[in-house]
Amino acid sequence: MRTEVLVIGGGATGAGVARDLSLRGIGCLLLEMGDYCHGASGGNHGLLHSGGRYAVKDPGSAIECASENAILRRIASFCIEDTGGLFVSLPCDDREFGQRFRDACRETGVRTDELTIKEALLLEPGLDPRTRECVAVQDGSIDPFVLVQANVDQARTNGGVVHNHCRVTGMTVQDRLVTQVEYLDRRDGQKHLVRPEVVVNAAGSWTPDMAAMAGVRIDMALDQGSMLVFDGRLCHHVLNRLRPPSNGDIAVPNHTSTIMGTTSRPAASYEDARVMRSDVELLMREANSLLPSSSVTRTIRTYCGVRPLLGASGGRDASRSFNILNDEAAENLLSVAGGKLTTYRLMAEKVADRVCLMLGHKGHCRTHLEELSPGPPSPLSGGIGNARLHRKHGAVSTEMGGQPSSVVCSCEQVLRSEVEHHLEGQDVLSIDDMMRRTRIGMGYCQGLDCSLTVLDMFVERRGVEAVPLLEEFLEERERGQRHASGEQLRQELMRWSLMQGVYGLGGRRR
Amino acid sequence: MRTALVVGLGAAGTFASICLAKKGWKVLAVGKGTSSCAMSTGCLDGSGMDPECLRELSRLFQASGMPLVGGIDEKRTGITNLGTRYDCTLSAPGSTWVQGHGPRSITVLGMGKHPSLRPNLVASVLRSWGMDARPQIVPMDIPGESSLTAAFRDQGHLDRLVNGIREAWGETVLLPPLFSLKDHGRLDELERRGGRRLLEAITPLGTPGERFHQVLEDGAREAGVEIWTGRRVTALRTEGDLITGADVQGGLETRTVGLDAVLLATGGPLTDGLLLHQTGLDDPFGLFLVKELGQGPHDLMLSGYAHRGGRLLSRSGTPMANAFAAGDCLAYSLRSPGKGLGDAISSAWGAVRTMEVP
Amino acid sequence: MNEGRCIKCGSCMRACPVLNDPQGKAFPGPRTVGIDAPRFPEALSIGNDALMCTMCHACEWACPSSITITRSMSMLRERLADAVPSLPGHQRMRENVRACGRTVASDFTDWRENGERTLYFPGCIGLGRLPELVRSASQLLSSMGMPHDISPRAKCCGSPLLKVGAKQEASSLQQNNLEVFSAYDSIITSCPGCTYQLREVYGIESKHLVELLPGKKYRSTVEGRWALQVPCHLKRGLDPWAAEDMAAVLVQAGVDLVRLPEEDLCCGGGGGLLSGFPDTSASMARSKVRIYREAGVRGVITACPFCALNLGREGLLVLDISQVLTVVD
Repeated sequence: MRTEVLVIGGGATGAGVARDLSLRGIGCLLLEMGDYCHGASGGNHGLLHSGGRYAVKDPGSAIECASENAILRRIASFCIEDTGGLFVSLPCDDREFGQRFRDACRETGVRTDELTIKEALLLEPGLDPRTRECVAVQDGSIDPFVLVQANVDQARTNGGVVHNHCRVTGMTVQDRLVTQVEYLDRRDGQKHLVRPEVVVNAAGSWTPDMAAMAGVRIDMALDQGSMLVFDGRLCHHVLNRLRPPSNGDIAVPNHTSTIMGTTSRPAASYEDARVMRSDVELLMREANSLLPSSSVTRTIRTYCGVRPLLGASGGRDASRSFNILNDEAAENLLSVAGGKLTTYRLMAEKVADRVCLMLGHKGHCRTHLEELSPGPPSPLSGGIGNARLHRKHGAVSTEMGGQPSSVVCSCEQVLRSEVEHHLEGQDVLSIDDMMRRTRIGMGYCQGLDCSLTVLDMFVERRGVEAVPLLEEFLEERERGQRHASGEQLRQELMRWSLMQGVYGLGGRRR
Repeated sequence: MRTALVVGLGAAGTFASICLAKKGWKVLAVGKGTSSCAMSTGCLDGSGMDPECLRELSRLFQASGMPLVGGIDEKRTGITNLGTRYDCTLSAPGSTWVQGHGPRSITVLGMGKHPSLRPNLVASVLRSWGMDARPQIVPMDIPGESSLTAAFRDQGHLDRLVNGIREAWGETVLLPPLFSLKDHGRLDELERRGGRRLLEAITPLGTPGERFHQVLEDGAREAGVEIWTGRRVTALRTEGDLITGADVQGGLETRTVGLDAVLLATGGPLTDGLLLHQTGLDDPFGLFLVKELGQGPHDLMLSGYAHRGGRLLSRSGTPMANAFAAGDCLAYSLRSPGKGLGDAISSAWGAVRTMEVP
Repeated sequence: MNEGRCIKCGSCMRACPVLNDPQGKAFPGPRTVGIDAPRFPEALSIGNDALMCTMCHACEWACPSSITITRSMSMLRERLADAVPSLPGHQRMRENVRACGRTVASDFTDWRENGERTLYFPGCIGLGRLPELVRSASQLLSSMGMPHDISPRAKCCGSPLLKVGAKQEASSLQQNNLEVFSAYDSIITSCPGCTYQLREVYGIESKHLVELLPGKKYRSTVEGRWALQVPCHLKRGLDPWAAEDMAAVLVQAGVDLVRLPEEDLCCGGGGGLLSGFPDTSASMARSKVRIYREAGVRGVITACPFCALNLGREGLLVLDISQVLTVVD
């Protein structure tokens, strides 16, 4: 098989590149080893940055964020909850930072508005009444799964070929060019070959591994960040702490939950990254300061994402800006790393520009002009399930309307028709693939109620082995329950009693 | 006559109430909410149970018209509504077989689209552990959230089901639970009319657990136990190291009752029998010693009230004179999944014996 | 606000009498309305189907986590009332209140304004549809040594309006009533809905007739075998002991009373279901009546005008407790 461009990595960057290239009429094949958003794109805060967070310490990133924020609101509106953001300071916070913040925002083009404490408390009754200052910014809450899927869909519509569950296993380099790439498709367990003209290595944390296959060395520092998910929306806006950037600064309302984050510590590898108890304790403390009601709110899950940062050292002070690398050992291999979810489109644009240069192609970027999944919003009546469709599926949602009573996941009000739709395509192999596309299993019961119904639908459509599929999903959900406490621990007890006690699944773990 | 206050109306509490009443105690049983027993599969692992205890339990089931089958150590197997294998030693008739005498070919029968039994899924799982199984659906329109026991009191539904059974491939038909306690005998009638061996799927969170619970509840009423549902004991009153009374709250009113002994059968953290603070367990009454064995869910299952044969200990570790406990709220040294109901019954029996000792 | 305690056991859904009724398919269920829906920004898309609930509290009583599901559903109903047009039946009810101060028009004339210190507050259904009930209750109260007024100036307690989210109307009714009540030391009701409203919303002392019965001796005025219809809002909403007290009084009076496990199953009349979803309400009443017919009782004794009305419409003989007792000196 031949292709003009092979894109490795189905996170925001890779999907963004595939979309950009296909809109320019350049043929591309994207290969993602797991499901889209397998890496950092699937383990982040879901924050559409205004840039405020970077204004002081990383102005380059701040400028990029501010401008991309506006673009994404235009082209990916259905992926974004326009919550707005607030930077608030508490009595214990550094008093001087506020002014530096405002100055830096002005210099980097990050729009701010001043609010009185009274106004702030009216907008956000959940804030600590001792809040001292409040600055409004254009933060938003963005769903990375929906965003990346929309990029994949548009790439496909414009001729791109995109496969998940395909892992690159080797590269052949001849005369300093990558001539052949071998990959393993999980669907048939077979190895396939592709001959690309250009290879874009957008593999996030695996960028060095991919580059090494072509004999190129890339230094990357992996940094992990933990997140704590609360049940319910504790705030209307994204809330940021107005203090020098540190751990546990931000709360993001996201669908039916509130995500508190984040932390920063080195990770040896993606596989080694795990949420530590100290992370959870820190995030809980910080959440309680920012939103006092969080102390009596159920936490449903913890997760961590690994940030692939370029350079040998990483951490909080490393720039969030991105880099495109090209080594003479493999001249047609472009590796891209760094960056943020908010600036993915810009990264993709720059990469696509380089690709065009390499191919001698005259195409111009259109990704800032074309809307992702344009289409009518779902009707606001006919039950919550129908009302939520647009927010999860964009224009494709018109194919998915269903009976309000056909809800298969009660926590997230997911309709049977949504699950059926996604079972028809090639992309969904597992229950957690289905989860990312429909949100089944993401609610407070973490799949206790819906996993059997969804499993039944898999068996009916695909004739798959039921128990391994279910156990795989339960294990995946359990990973986020290692630090379950309070009501979530009761929920886990319930799940254990049912899945292990009655159904005999899971065996003796832990 | 000695008065006993039993707190909790699950398996342990209700069974203990019956045993106490039969030994001549005046029993007031107070509880709220659905018990774990009513959410269980209604099957027990009876290994290690006192034969006297089993005799008493069997008597209750006999009296209800739905006798228990099995024994203390009789290895029996059933099929869950997921299609996995379920082992126990005692169950309702029609849902388990003696190991070694199981079905060879099974038709999994679904009632329309009702989620109580999903034929494709269950047949697929059955085949994965070596059973010869096929799915079949009886065309019926029963909404997902409504109960089958109400629907199958209708002769029309029953007739349609019989036809479905008659057409089934295989010698055994697996059905979801269709009958309440009083209608349970109809399963035999169904078997006769249908011409196949019938097996009721082992189903948690539904009818079998509710039936089990009802047998105990009816037995308690028969034995003269006074039952207060929808009420909770909010405090225990003490005089020195004796429990003398309890505050019982129901709706907007709280009444105080006197007692000679109290038996806590409040269930574990699932039913608020023990308070769960972040990761630590505590006694809601603030009086008794709680033994904690760890922080993960299955450690939590083992944690609970420290006790000596069902006799509770004070916070400082001294045995209480007139406070006892049974069931899930007790700490266990070993608890495997699925043993909850058997342990609840056995511990209730044990606690009542301990209560009889001065 | 303890909805965060839900462990998805489904007990509330299994206990819900609306979900178990063939005409209740459109009801999303107590877990969806009370626990899941409020977490969504699009919560109000649930629409008026969320109102297909009698507020019988069966879900709350079934919940192992003691979640106040009914209250949570109430809060969503309030939000819905501000955003979604009222059901036709509820519109009519509100119009009646605006016209005559009661949910149903009444031609009751046996008012009493004798300056007594006790007020008997029968409620709109009693005054409008069951005048016999009102007369019996009044007679019984008098023979219990409790002289009382029945005032035409005391209007609807406002509970049905609050159940459909009409806060303004409920509030002005409350204002009017509090003024009328100020002339009395005690208020006695026949309807558990009114009792709850007066106690919990108005915050004043009031007693349901059933709560005054214990302590005296009675004689039954009826023959044959009877069962109880224990009103949801009395047993599960106000006072779980009331059902036992009712039974004790009736048995002492010589009523041949059979206790059925389903005696406290909802009749389908409350929560605005009667006016908002009459088909579902009637279907639930029919199921309940079938249970009583199968038990072979002559009739049913209750303590709630909604129960009396809804079950009575399906042809069952239903009497208020005040209609079956006389005081023995």
